[in-house]
Amino acid sequence: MTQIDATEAGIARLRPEERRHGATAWERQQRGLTLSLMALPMAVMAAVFVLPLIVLLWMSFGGGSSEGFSLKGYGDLMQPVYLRLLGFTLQLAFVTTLACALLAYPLAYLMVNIRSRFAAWMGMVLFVTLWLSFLARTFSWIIILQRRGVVNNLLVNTGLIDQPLELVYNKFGVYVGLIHILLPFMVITLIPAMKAIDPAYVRAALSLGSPPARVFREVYLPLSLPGLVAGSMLVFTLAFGFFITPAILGGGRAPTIVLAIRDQIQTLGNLQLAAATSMLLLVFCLGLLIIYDRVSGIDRIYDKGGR
Amino acid sequence: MTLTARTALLAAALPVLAAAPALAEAPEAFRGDGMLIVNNWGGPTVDRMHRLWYGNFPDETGIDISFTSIPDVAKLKIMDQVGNVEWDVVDFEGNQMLLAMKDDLLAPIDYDLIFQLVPEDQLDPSQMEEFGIGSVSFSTVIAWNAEEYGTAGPQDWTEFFDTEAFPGRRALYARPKPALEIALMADGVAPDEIYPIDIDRAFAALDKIGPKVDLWVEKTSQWDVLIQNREVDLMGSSLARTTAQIEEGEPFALTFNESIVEQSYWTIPKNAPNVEDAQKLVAWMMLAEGQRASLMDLPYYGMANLTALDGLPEATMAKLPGAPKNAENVMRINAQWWFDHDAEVQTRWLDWLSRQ
Repeated sequence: MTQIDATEAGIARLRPEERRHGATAWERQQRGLTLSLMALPMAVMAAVFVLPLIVLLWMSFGGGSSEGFSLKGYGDLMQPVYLRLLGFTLQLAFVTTLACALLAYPLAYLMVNIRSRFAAWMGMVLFVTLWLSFLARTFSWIIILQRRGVVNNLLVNTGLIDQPLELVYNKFGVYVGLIHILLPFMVITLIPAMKAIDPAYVRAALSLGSPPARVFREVYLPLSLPGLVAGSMLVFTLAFGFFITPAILGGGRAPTIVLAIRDQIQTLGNLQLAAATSMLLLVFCLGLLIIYDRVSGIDRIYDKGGR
Repeated sequence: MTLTARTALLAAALPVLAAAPALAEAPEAFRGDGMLIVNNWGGPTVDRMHRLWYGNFPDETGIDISFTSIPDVAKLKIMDQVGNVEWDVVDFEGNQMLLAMKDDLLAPIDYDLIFQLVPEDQLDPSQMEEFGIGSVSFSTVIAWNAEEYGTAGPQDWTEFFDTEAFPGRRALYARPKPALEIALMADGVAPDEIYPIDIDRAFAALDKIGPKVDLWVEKTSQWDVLIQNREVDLMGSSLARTTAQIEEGEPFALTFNESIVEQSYWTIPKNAPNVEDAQKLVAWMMLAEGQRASLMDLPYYGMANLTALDGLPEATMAKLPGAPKNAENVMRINAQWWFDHDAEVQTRWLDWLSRQ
């Protein structure tokens, strides 16, 4: 294979007439290529993400309704019940995210750092659950947690308790179901972030005499933070909008704001109010995004971890 | 289906076919081609029921039928707005039909066509509306764990909430309709005096029964799980789901007294792809034979053709909500009242439920 002389001198020797404008021509071509490659994804993004949002915004002000434009949707939203439902839904999403982060972090750490069949199997088990329907998994939790379910039967039959515990059809059941369903999403986002951490950093810190806890706190954790932030945002957003699992496992004791949207659409046919409520959820999620941005910098999500 | 049920079905269907030879062939006005999309409540049971119901309609008329689910007014409204309605026939609940009528989404039912096929006096006049004709009525009943209470379960809603006579766990639908009606009946209001609902009184009554309800049921399919696992002892549950579980051998019993009956309607979207053929199918569904065939298979619903019950065996009649004995003291949902008050009640209900 002949050596290609790609130095500037080499290029200059090859095409002296283009050399003076070469760099700008190259840049122009690069920009053109980027734009043409971006055109299709941008168009798809606009069509399937931006456009529906604009339609939703338009509907929340009464667009498409027989009564015409008004602030009625947002006015109806200012009732204590919606604020209470929103508050509970926020709490639900927050606690679920926190629990998922605490559970997923060690799990992902093990899967990345312990290269064994066990880790591979753990990954398989975790991701297979993603293929099953939410509804099937929700009902499975009922079978496990109900009064005559697996857990209660075990506890009662071994004499540990006299009366079956109330494990489902309350908020506890909702948390169990939600955390189980959303945990894989957190693990999936944590794994690549942790894989990208160069083990040399950890070794270097250790060899310089830093205690392991401090190495974790000051080297490993900050480097894995982008993954944790991305995973938390994903889980929080999913938990915020989850509806069927809280409705079934909650036994009516965990009504979420999404449940209200369902009723607004299906029972009341009030698309304006439903759109306004959805916009409220959107604003909260965007607000969260901005806070994350201030705290850790949104672009760090796209960092390649430890580089 | 068991062999005995199949034999019974044949036995019931044969004399009918012999008695009505004119119906063996569809009149000229019913011929057509193409495909009708029927939007129903989904699931293999409903599809099977509807297939038995329309019977030989495709063969007789040349019009094919396919099913989609689930009836949703908001979806129809949006399909209508963008000019692409996919459904030809929709099985709407009463207040869904009113909601669709408000937005002018429905075509009037062609009663002339129906009467060409079915004598007017066979049809229940209370189920004949301008924009819909009765599909099924479905019931919410008082049911109980027979291992706990034998046949002596609560016979009305007041007894249902009597925690001394019936200590145990209770479940109701997590919806204001029929929770408000149930609360009022538990408070001593007679089934035929519920409407117009005194909303304040209803919520005061709900405050009394609320603490006695151990779980609120979101999806109808939950009843199966609750029954099979004896999670609750007393339920205001779906008649169809409960009867099906009893037939499977689950030790549950129910009463039709103070049961809550809600009417659904066959409706035709105004801008459906094939309104004309849809009218033919709706008319065909009013035939007693088809309704009887579907009742023989799934004896859980009420039907619009009053003669559909003729000649049904005792055992089937005992299960049917439309049988005269079972329909004696029932509460019928007033769809118009709910249509007028849904917005107000729904918000208050969510408020109430979120404080439980």
